[in-house]
Amino acid sequence: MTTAFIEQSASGAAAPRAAARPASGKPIGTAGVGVRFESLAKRYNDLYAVDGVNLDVAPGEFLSILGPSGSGKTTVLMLIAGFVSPSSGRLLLGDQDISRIPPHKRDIGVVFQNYALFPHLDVRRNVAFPLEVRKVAKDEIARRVAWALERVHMSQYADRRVSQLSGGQQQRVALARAIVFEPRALLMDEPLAALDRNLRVDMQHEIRSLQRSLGQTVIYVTHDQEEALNLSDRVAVMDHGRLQQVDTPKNLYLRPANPFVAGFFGEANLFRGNAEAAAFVTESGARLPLARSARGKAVLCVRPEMIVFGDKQKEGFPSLEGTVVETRFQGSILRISLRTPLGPIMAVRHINTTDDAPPEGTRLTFGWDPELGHLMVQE
Amino acid sequence: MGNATSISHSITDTPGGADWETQRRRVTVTLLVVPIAMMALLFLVPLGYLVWLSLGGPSGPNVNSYRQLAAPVYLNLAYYTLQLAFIVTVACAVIAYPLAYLLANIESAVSRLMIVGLVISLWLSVLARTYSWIIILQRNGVVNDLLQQAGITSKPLPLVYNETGVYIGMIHILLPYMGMTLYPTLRAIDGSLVRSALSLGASPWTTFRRVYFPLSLSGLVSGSILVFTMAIGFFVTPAILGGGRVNTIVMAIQNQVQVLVDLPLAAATSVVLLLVSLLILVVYERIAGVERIFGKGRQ
Amino acid sequence: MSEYLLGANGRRLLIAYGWLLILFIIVPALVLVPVSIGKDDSFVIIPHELSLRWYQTLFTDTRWRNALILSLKLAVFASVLATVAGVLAAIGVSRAAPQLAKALRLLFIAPMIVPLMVIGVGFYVLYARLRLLGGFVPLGAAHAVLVLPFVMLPVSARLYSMDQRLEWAAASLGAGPYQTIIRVVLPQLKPAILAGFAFAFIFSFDEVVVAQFLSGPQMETLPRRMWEGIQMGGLDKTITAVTTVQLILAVVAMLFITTWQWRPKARPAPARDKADRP
Repeated sequence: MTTAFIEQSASGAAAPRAAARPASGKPIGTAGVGVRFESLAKRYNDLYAVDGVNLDVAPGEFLSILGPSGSGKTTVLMLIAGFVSPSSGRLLLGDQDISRIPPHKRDIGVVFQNYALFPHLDVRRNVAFPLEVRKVAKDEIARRVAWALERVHMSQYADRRVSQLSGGQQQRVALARAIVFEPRALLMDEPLAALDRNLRVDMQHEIRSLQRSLGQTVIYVTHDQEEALNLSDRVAVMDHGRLQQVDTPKNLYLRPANPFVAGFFGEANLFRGNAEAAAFVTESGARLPLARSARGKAVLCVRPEMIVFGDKQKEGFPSLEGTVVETRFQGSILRISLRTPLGPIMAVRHINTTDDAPPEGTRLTFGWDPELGHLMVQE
Repeated sequence: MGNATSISHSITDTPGGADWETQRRRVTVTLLVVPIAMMALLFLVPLGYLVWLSLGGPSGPNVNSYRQLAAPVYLNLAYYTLQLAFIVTVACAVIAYPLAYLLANIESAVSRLMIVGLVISLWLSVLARTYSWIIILQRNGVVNDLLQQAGITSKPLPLVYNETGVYIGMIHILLPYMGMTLYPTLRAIDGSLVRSALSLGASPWTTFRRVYFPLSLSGLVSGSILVFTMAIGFFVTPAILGGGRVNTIVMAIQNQVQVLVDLPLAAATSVVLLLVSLLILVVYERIAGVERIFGKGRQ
Repeated sequence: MSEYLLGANGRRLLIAYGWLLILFIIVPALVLVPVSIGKDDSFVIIPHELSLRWYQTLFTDTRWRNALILSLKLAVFASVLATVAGVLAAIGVSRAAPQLAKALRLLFIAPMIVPLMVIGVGFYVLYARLRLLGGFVPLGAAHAVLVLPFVMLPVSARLYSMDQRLEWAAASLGAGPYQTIIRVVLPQLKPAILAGFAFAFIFSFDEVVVAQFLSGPQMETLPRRMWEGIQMGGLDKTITAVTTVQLILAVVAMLFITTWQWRPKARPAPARDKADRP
């Protein structure tokens, strides 16, 4: 079933409507519209939960809002869904200002963290709910519910009670319920947090391919970096109520905008100091080569896997020395902690040889390709 | 696409419509209008009228009725009522505690039957149950028959139409309230605390005294307050089973209305009782929260 | 559930104590049943000759029958009114700001705590002045306030344990505030509403203190009739027939409600995640 679904979605990406067309009647499923935040802020007393957020989500884009707890991402979610009103700024859905529209008139499908399925209704009636409250004709409801359940592979569970479903199945029903009324956008609040790891990866695939085949705009709120990177076209990183960076997963990793983002995605060796044209001078006085010249107070970010040792060093790499403090095998990689004049350095090496780990106390020379070092100039 | 979005709400319907909080508040107020009006009209107005009447009513504000209440006969009556309620409360607590312990900790047929029995008791007619005790306790009733057959007594004991009957009947009717308040509290006590106390070398008695009992205290207190309040205001059971030999403050009120026809005095007595019960209600809310009545409303 | 503090003997003793208390709690509730089917006037627990003549009296004797019908009408009127108001109150209070909710909760619970005699006298003096004594609707309204807490309490408890996100989910799916209450909140409150209604009905059906003040000479409710009979020595065995009918009503109502509440849980347990992944 899963395999078939992936094949289908692969073709669905090219012709999104074809897969969505049911046997008879009008095609179901609308593409999403864009969502625009204009200096959106939410203040509680004097505390800004969300502070001056500007963001454009393109129609059909999968955008994750990622941040630690307390970063303001939940408030953003509540602002979009309409359960919180902005203190200032505007929120546009398509070209309409929805800042003061009550939630039930927004036409945004929301998938909640705990699924929030109605326990007194069976699966079919749960999915039919948004259509029933919109007074859609009975046969049309039946057609759309069948379509939505089929999209999430839950057709055979239509008559089950919610309490009889597993977590993953409840998740699918919640998804079907959120797409069945052809919302303008889909909003998801950590929808996979309660699932075990393997199921989570499966569901990520399904959500992504469903979104592609529908052409739906998805705003996905999560605190899980891996999930955000896996799923999204772009990720908006939040901290302290502010947007830190909005970018593609690759750029977030390779070109983080500031030390917070750098530290949030994987490990980073961060050097504080000043960029002085072609060289970066650390606070401890070491001069490190830069690929592009820059000036001013800055932080240089070097990812652990970019560090190379000894004879793998090339012309133009910085040449530094350090002492191995600790080595650790972590599956396919070896992590090496070094003590250096620049401070502690973390390096990882893929285990593709039978080399032994360098024992503690070994002195190693190391460096990196300046092209791969990322300089974050601070204004 | 145009036809497919036809089922959606039209956003432009409500330009600048109320946001979630405003809308929610508006609905809440709408929901509360009818019940609050009902309570105002049918609860606050009668009681307010009672207060007004107790203060002299049309003949201007005075405390004459309250002065009458200071007479020894009413003070004795108040004292007797409190004493009766206190003894009934203590008896219910003492009887119900082991019972609730049994229900909460020992899985057996008697526990299951007892839970059903307690719940059903709350559903049964107070009048009917009180009447049953007359049949059971009267001179030629079951209990006296048994006692005589067993040779414990040669002539029937006076078990009803006196204080004994009142105590038996009141304890019988109020015990389930105590039980149903205590049971969930005891049930919620974490068994691992008891186990760890025992494993640390405490004797069962010490464990009960130092660990289990303090944890159960909140249920015991809220159950006692509930039973005490109900006992103070109880009319049916003492009136029937006391056979006129037991007089409480509520029976005095009835007497003031129907025999003495002194409404200001009845009003003043009622107001004093009202204040006492409201005070207890506030204390109860502070200690336990009113939702705990019947052990419901707790997560 | 296991017990650590008592030895085996202690546990046995406690179970024996439990059985003894069952006698004390249940027997008085049941003792009138066999009495009521005894043919003669005597109040013996094991009747010599069986007969339904006391039930016949209850349903044919004009005074008893009228009292029965009046009490049924009164209980329906009061409990329907109390259920509507109590459910609205419970939902409203659950949504109000914490301080206001606390105050309102005390107000709505108060009729249960304030002694019936006090409320009865309050209504009596007010109704006497307004010339409402002896009226069906005024008495029914008074009863409605008395039994409102019985609806309010279980419904509030149910609301309290309900997931607030269901309300958000309903709104996000397009349901307006009243649609949400009707389609999402009320269906989940059904068992609690039913329990509250039944409790309110039974309390009103049994209430004598307020009724004797407000019903005037011409309106005799069933409990008032019973009260009078009991005051006269309780020799009219029709009373035992009434109490038996009450007992049966209460037990049937309770069984109905408990089985109804348990119904969903009787279904098979949810399947594990991996087993039935599509």
